[in-house]
Amino acid sequence: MLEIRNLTKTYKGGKRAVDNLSLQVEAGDICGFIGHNGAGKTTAIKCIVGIHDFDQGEIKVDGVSVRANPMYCKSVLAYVPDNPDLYEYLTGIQYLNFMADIFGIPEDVRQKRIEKEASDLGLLAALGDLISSYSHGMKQKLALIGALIHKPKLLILDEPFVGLDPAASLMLKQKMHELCANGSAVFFSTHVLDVAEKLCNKVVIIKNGQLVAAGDTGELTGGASLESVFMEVACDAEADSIS
Amino acid sequence: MLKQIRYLSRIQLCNLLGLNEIRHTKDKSRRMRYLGLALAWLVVGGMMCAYIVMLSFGLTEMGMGEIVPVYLSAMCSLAILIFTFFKAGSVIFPVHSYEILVSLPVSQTAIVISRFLTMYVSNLLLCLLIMIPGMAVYALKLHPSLGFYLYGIPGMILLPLLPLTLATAAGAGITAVTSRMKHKSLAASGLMILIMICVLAVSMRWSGEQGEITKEMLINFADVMKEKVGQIYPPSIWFGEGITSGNTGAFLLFAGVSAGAFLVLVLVLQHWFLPICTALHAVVRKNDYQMGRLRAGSVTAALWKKEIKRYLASTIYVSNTVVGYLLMVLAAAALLFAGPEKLEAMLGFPGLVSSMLPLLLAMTASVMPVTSCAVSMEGKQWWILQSLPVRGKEIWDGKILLNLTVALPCWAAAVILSILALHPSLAEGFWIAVIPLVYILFTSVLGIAVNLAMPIFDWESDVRVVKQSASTMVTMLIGMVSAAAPALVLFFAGMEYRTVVYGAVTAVILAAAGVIYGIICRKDTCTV
Repeated sequence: MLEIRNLTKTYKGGKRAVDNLSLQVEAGDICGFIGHNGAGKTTAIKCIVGIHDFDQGEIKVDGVSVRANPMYCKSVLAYVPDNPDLYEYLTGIQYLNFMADIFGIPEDVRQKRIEKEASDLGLLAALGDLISSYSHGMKQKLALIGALIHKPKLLILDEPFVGLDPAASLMLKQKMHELCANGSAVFFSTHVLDVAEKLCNKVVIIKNGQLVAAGDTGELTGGASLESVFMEVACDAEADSIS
Repeated sequence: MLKQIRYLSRIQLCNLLGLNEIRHTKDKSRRMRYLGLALAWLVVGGMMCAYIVMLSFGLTEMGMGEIVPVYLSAMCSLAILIFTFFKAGSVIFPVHSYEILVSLPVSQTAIVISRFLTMYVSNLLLCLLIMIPGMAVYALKLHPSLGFYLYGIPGMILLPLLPLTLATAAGAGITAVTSRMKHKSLAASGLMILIMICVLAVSMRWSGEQGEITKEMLINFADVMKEKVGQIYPPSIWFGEGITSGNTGAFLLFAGVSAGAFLVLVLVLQHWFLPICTALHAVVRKNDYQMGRLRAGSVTAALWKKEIKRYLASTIYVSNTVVGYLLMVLAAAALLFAGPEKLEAMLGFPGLVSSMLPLLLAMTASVMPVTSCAVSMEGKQWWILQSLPVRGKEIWDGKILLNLTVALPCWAAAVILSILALHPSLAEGFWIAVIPLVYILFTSVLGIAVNLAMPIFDWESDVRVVKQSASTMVTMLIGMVSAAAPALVLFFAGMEYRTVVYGAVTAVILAAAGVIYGIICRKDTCTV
């Protein structure tokens, strides 16, 4: 569902944020994307969803290159950033209706989907209020409902559990499993290693923009905790950078 | 408290002028953008200086040198009043940094004064740009006494204080009145526009009342002008008398009123600062939504509706971008109700207004199109459109449609009023309708193109985008010059070439709009 080959992204000013990164996420996968602050996770994600252009490499979504056919790729994926700055001047329902218009969802379908997702996440009653009145968690829930409105084949989330209440976190995990059960894939960055270990069947670890470990969670940890694997990989990389 | 004021002002100024970004950014293109903006400001500043020098030189040559300080100080005060009025409310009452500021151990007085000082510094630059060239001409031609320098230098520093205080009081007043309203932005925009229309109407009426300039008036022109300025803005007379006649009393009166008004404003604002900020930040959450029928629409319609809601949510955005279009209607209304002669006398273009009306309307329509900052206005929400399956063309179309939604009703009203006023022939009526329309289309696409070349998304206040960004300034410059150039050609070539010039202008401007539109349609969101 997502294939990245030799992705390299250098910012203006010379900082190489992503360096020759390759990874693969299959349909049905929940893949955790792990790395230190500034490791290049958000940059890589932004390249996938079309926010950033990139220098080298190839990104394919559902087998289609994001460079050759960005519209198709964007129409089958959905993205929720770590700090969802939404249109504060719209009400929640206006935002969702806007998203539905963009994805061309028929009236009756959008109504049912919004009602179901908003009820599940406990946001239905607040949909008539301006987004500017929402808390961080409410904005995140709204962004998530907006992302699910077209039943994406690939859901990409940047730090999705930050700011969510326990009930919403549980619901999000269920939504991820539901999507994957229906043949979609989920790719998300996180610092919460416990969640990644329990939720993800695949894990990708990056350091300084480079891939340092990737694979099935069970195989990668080999019975140890993901935290210890991550610390081992991170410490190695840190020692490398010091030397 | 002085230390707090200094720190807060420094942060404000860094943000206002983009100094911190220039200093720390590693992005060369961003630095070049700032350099371009600085160059554009230099060009505008240079043009303004040249105009002031010529004006002052002309007045001194005609033996009316004594009017120069009075005239320039009045001009400077008016410019500060207009430029500050629209932004004062949002600068004084910080919407984005409010929570950080009030949680810090800084006094409200320090916050208010630092924000006032930020505006003061930018207005002082404008003031010096107007005053120094004129005063230099005055000093070179009239060789004034030491008192001129003794009072002139502190006078120039004090000069922005009173108009700034008046504009801030009005802007803050509007913000305070509308802060508790449900649609506060819309109400504030409406009030600001209403006040501006009233100011323009009063000034038009005042200009109209002057009537014909008699021979006697020309002989005593300096006195007449002084009297007129004194009627509207007496501090200019006090300033002028202080520095030209060495009248200490008049100068002290000017300094006292300027400083006193500022102190009174600070006292009032620091008392009301927290209640107004709290009211501005108050959120109404009903939490009672029940699912109803949702209407589906096309992508373009969805983007257009979003743009309209974005537009109406920002007082600064509405009040600044609608001014040109309102001026177009006001000019046409003045033509109908005051008559072409009075309008020509008021604008100082005898015999030209009615014959060059299409270009005059085009010039007002080019003042500041909504699109000149529409891309930057996406701000931190830009990621949404970037990650959605919409083409750049569809996004720009939505923004162009917004501009047309604002401009076309004003254009229609201006055309109808102009036709009723002038009873033109079919051909003249055609040009009155077509030329401004062509310019509206041109500036709509031009605004997008310039903003795509010079976008800013990491801003904290609408003021930064609407009033201080390079894209609005460059769009304004190109738009105005493109409308003024054919007017000059017509002026020198003669009115008998009207049809040829209008035809050529229509063809060239439409072709330019088409080429620019073609270029922006190829622009993708991830490269912006």
